[in-house]
Amino acid sequence: MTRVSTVAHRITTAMLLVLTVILIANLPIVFFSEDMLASPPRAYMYNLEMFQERHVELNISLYPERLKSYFSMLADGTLGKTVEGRLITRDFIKYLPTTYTIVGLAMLISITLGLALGFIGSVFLGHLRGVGPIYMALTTVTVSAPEFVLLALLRVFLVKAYSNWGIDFGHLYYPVLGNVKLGDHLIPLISISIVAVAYVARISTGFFDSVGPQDYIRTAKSKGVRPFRIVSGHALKNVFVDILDAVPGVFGLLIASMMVIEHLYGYPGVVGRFIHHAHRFSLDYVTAVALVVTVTYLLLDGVTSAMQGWLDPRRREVQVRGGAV
Amino acid sequence: MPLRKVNGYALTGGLILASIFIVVVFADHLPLRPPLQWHRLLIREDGMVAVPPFKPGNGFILGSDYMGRDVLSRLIYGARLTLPIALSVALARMVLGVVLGGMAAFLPAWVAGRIKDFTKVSTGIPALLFATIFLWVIRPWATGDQVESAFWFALILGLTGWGRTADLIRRRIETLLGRPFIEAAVAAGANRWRILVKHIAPHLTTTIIIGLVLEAAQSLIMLGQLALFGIVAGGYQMFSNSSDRPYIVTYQPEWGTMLMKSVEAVWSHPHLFLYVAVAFFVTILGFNLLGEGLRRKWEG
Repeated sequence: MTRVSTVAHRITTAMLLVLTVILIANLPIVFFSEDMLASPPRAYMYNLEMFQERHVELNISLYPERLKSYFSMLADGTLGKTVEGRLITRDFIKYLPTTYTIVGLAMLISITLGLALGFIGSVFLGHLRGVGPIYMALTTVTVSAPEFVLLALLRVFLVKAYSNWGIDFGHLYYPVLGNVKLGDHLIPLISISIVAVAYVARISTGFFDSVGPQDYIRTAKSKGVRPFRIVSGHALKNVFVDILDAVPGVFGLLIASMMVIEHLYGYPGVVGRFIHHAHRFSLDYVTAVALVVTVTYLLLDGVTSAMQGWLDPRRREVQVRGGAV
Repeated sequence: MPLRKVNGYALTGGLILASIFIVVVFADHLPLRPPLQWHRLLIREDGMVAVPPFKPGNGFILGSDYMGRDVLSRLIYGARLTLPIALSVALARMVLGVVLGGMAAFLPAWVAGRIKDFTKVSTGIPALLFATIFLWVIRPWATGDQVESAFWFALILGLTGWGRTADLIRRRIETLLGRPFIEAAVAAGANRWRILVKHIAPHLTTTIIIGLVLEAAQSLIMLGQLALFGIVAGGYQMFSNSSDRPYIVTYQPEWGTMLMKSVEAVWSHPHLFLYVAVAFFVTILGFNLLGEGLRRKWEG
């Protein structure tokens, strides 16, 4: 398989996956009851009548109609309208930057800090008796803390700091409406980054440990090279190549966390708006967000694969011979 | 046994989960208030009258919720619905993961390649996106049947989050396929089916158990996240109050419903939120520690 056909294969696969996402995102229509089909979309999240006892019904005939109307809408060059009647693309222009700024910064922090912690854990702490297990236990504890717990604790701390010690953190703990400055992202950024940092630190420690028995490391050791030099000069590059595999996964993790943060605390981002629209049964918006996330994931996957091929000739060879996405 | 040989992760995780399991199973024999019993007023030990939610003390170890119901009792009884759902989700994901991961490792390359692509992307797209819309539309909690509600949760969360387990199983099978004992079986003339059943399957047992335990932790995180969007297995009812704003009342004790309702009072009564959050955190930690411990023991 040549390089051109590899790229063609990737593009075809990506298109098939985008199509699959559209098919799945529109599938909930088969569970729609009559009151949900009423238009325009409901102005209120909670309609008391809808929360009375009901039985789950399947209405499969709605699905082909829904797909037909959705694809014709795509053919017209639009992703549909929000429940407020605005074009979804305009909504994305307004709200996507907030989400992606925080997620992007969180990815940068988690990869950099996670790799650094993995490095420290492997080189320094791994050799100290009893410290290695404590380090791993700490990362296990951190990845077990859901972001909503961390955010609640952080915000309670900020308020207590103000009421008990008089330390004013400004408006950091209030929901932010409208356009926000970079400083306003601090609390959601910390909340979603902590778990991701621990996650990357865990896997990078594992990667650092797994390169230990490799021949090139053993050779360096037998030549008397210092452990720091072995890891920084020999292992780091290979571990970085392996860590790149985790980048799209970290993106998925952060987007899920961001959904919770934006919804709970009113941050003006697109995944918080997703919940707003899902509560109003707007499948157009749901599909649009799923598409944006999927395309971002595929782009990240493509970029990381290209970087891996560039950094590691063995990977490049595997990719050109016919590797999957 | 020397202390350093003890698997600290598995021991701690196992102890946490065993404690929770024992308390939940024998809850009827513990001196707890009924989880549905509510109190309008409470005469405190100092003679003052309190209105719910009561703070910890005065017979309510962890305080009460907004209807004067004992939080500790509701946490313990609530685990009877939340934990089986988390385990069912993990089981559903594992079954799908084993089937699709096995297919990706065993079927001809052109089929396996497509399954692998789909698995990888389904790992990346947050399952929360699809689970939210499907469960919000289906609203299984409104059926009034806990078993049916639990079934829909397990089904939807299982169908939306199998990518990670499929990837795990595929990688494990691919590692096993390169081992000498598989080469020996092929050389001896064993067909694919025989290799799968006789040689691969026994080696997958440990991977499946580890995956199941770790996936239960992920399912619990997702149940907590969904609860914050108003999607809960325990169910709730909505009433309109004097200002014509919806007012949510929860009945069935379940961690998700407790979390959803306590978010409203996170500033005024943070203990309501923190206790449920801690229950989620400790249980997730228990599953993660046990999974990590088993992984270290069986896979090195």
